[in-house]
Amino acid sequence: MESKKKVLKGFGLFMAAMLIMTFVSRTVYVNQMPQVRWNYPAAASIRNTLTVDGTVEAVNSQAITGMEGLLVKRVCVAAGEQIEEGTVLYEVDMDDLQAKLGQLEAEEEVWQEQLQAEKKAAATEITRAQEDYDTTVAELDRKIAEQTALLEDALEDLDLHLFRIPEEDSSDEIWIAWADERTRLDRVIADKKRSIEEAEFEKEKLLKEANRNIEDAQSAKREVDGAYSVSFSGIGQIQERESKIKTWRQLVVDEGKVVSQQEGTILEVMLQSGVRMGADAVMRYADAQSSLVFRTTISQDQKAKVHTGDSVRLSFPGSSEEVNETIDSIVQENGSYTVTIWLEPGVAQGRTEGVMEVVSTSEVYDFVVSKQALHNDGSTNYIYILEEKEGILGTEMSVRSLTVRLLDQNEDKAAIMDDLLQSDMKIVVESDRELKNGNSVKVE
Amino acid sequence: MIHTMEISEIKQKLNIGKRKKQKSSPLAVGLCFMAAFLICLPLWMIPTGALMDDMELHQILTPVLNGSDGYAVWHPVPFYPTVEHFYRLLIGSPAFYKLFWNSVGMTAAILAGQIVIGLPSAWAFAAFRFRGREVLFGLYVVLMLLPFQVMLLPQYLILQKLDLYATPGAVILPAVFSTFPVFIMYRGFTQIEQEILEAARLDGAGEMQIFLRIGLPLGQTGIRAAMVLSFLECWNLVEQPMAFLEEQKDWPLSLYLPQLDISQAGFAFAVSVIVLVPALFVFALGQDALEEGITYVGTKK
Repeated sequence: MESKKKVLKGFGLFMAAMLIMTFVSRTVYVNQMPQVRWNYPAAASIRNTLTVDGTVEAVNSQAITGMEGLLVKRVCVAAGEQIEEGTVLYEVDMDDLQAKLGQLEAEEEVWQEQLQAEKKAAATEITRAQEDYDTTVAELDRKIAEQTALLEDALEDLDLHLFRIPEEDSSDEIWIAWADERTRLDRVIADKKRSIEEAEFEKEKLLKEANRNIEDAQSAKREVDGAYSVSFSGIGQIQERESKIKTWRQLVVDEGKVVSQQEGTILEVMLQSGVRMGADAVMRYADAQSSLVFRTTISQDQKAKVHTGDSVRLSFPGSSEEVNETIDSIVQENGSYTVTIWLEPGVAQGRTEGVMEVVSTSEVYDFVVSKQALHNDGSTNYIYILEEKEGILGTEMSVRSLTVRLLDQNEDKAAIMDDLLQSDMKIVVESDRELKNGNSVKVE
Repeated sequence: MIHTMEISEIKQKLNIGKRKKQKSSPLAVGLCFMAAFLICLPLWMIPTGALMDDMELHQILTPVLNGSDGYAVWHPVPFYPTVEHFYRLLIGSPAFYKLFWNSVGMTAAILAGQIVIGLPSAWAFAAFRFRGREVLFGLYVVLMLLPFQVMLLPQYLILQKLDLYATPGAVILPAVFSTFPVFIMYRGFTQIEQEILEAARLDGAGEMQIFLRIGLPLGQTGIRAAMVLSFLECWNLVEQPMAFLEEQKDWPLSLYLPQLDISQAGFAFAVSVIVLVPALFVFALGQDALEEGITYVGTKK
């Protein structure tokens, strides 16, 4: 009987323990249960606000080339700065400038001396050519005159010989001798004529050659007189050097300060103090009359929310200026889209960066939920539906995942679609813990 | 006193408790131990399995799970003992408690119903002689012998008519009218000598007085035996809840284990251990009565 009491007591303790553990287990279960908030999907439109950074660019920007070879002492302007005519853009190192200028001037002096020598040599050459020409002409004229005189003598001899024609009854020997003489005289005349022709031909030829020499000498002299060196490749260097000297001398006068030639806006400065300038542009600016455009790049997804002709609001960092403009063009470039907005005259002067804000309202979608209700596992979008579940513990609220198609979204809302989706479905919009399909939940 | 004498007589007749100690051969003892070992082996697997971690269980059960070659070799003692399954069961499974208390409630209701309905029936069969008693008792016996499957449809139709289908009453009500406890209790009451009842009547005792003052005290062994057997039957009900209960929240604990798949073997073993505990307590409480009750069944009076 005693042992039975013990067994009964043990049984009672067991049942009591089970009762306590029932409460403990239930408490743990409830405490581990995610607490959710739900809402019905609503028909609504999605209001999208797209904000992207962009740049303000001049349509016709101009480059300011550097003083090649000079050392920059100080850069006096920055990008976005408005400049007037005469505004100091940058200063060059005066010591360096003086040294470089002196070097150039020395080179110029050497070159001038060389030029004078070349001029002198050219003049001498002309004189020589002229003398050769004169000598040649005189010699040939003398030869021609000499041959002409001989020809005239031969002709007189022939006339005289023809006059001395033998009598008809003269002996054959006389006739033969006369004929021989005539033949000889004809031959002499022909020889002289040929000599004269040859001399004239020779003269003409030599005169051409002498004239060419004179022309060459004169050409060489003209080149020297025109300060052109004998080599064509040197022309550019000479001109550049002379231009540099001229510019640098003015720069010395200006105490090394390079100033703006007209008013405008500095768009870009590619110059740094202590750097020796090259031949490239050191600054880019837009003059006051130049038009400005705002340009920005948007992605394929963003493109769906922006259309040509849409009104946009432009603001500019560091400024309270805000303007309403219209998108003028959207052009696809390498997978992205470039949005261009032509700015009204006077807008965004002195600005290089801007922010574009586009607000668009979509069509009315049947099912719009809070963005928090939408989940994504990397490839698919899904939501959790709250529904009653009959289980061992009775009727509980549980969540079931439903794959949906995302139609549109903004920061707060998402428009979704699925054949199984209904307007009376309770959609979980918030949970204090990560949910899994089939989880029992507490409803807030 | 009379009751004690009756029992002693029966025991004497059956030679219980007075057997001479006989010298057993080592072979017989060995065979008995071997048989006992084989019988107890599954029982040993329950607590050891409950204390094994999932990795060890998976390793053991792989040939069974995969249907591959080889056999599942059980570890008599867990290599990596853990109370993880018990912790999960006792702390993290409120569903288990829900079904546990369902079983407790269902069993208590059935036992109470059997006391209320079955006990007077058994007393009536044992104490009174009336026309058609034998036929009626024969019907009881027939009903006791009928398997549940035979009674399924009639019970279903009746439960539907009574709007009890898919409620706990669908399991409780048929069990309350179970004839087996009536038979056991009847057998217990038949152990009371009719002379005692007659004497009481002559002394002016009413039938209710006789039932309460004589019947219940003298027939308590049979009643306890019936209750123990009924408890074990109700605690392990499977077919009736599966047939008549639709919602899981109404299920008894006996349907919890079938919900667990083999991947939760350790957890299932832990559930088995806890499920066994009430049955063991009840058995311990009613073991003597159960033994005597079983002898009543085999005794013709």
